[in-house]
Amino acid sequence: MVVELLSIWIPIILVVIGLSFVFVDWPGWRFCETIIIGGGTGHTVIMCFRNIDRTIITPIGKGSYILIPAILFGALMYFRFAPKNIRWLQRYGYAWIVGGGLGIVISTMIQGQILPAIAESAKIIGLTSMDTLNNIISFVIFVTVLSYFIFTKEHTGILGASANIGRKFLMIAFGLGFSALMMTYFGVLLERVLWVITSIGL
Amino acid sequence: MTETTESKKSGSIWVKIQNIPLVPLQLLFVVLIIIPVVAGISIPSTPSTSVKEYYDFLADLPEGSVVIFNSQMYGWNYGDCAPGCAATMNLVLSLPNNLRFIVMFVSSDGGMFWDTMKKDFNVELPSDKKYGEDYVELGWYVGGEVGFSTLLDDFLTIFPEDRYGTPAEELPVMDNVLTGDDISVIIASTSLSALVDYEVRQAYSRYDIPLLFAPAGMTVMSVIPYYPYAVKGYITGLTGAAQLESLMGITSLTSKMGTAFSFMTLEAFVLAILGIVGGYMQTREEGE
Repeated sequence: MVVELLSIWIPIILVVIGLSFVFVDWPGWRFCETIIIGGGTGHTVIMCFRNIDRTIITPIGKGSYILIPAILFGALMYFRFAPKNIRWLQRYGYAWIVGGGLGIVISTMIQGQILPAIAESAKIIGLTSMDTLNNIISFVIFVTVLSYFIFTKEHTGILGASANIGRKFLMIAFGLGFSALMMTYFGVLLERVLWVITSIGL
Repeated sequence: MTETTESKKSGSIWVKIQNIPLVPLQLLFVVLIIIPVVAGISIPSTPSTSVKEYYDFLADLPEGSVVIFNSQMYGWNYGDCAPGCAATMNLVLSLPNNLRFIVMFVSSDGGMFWDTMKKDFNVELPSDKKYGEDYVELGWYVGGEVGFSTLLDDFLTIFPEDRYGTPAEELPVMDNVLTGDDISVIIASTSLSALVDYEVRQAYSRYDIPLLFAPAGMTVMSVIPYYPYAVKGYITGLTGAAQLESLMGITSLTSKMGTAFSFMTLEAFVLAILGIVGGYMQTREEGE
């Protein structure tokens, strides 16, 4: 009974203390913050060990020795904490990650993102009048925003006018982005407030 | 003359609005959110085109298709992503085409929040569905895009077992799910724009896998550029989830949250308008 009550009320109190940061920064809030960071880090470390066991240690035990070089290169990254004369070894670990990552990203970016986006924008057959209007607006936004970022020529005349319009479009986009961010914050706040009132039986 | 202007300024409604203390306003804001929920007020939500497409795409999949759900739900975005996850899980497992629902997580705490979501939103397996046969939770993959790319090449390397330690070979739901070629659709719930981009690059670009998204409100702007060629439908955050539930004909906590969210947005809109107009009028009065 006591455990049940505590399991309801401790989270509620922590949520309320967490929300109190809106009004004031006080030690109670910092206590909650520390619990989250400490608890989160502890959980992540344990999950990482479990993951290494699942995807590396167990398969090696079953004969997948090809994974041993991966561990060695991964371990090289810890050389950033080593004495200065051997610290350069860390670069080989990072080089693998950056090189491999770039290879995977760049090869697929062109065919998955750039070309289809251009093809969709340039489509003229089988479109509704609204789609055509959208494509024209997109093209105008693309050109004017791009002109805003041309810094090798002074923004006067046609370029100046175009850059000015581009700046307005950028402002609209940033405003929209910010409002979307606020919507997410509202959703997060709402869920917690509803969780509190549901938990106390309202 | 100055005194008259000063008194005029201090009496202006716009100046008074600008000087309302913030704390009571914030408390009022929270109270006004609670009222519709406690009073059971409900605003009907009309599903948008993208939500209808999201629903139709899943409903039209062939019998027994493999649906991968990639969840990036965690503490920070839980309130906005959890309703979409709950509504999607309810939908996929209730459709008559017996879809295979495979869930995986982007972050280490994904499993923990998935369990919380199921508890908070009362999501349960229908009586005719079984864990391991129709539905499985695989756990989390590391490495972001590289990890995701690898799992599409060889699922069993990244997930040799589910998150409870059952080997993949013993899970009937994983039969013949070996590479991206065996997947019918990938759904992602996320607040991370990078995840949207890398799913398009790795899943759509390399394997031609159609994508669906249940993003947080802040991420929908990253999804729309890929719609409709790679992304076949999306439900945006809490409101999208409420719309999906209205299409499914069910009412749950998500629907209540959708109503409260509408009230919240309305309040925020009114306050924003008052703030903008008030600020403008105050500046104008000070300039006179």
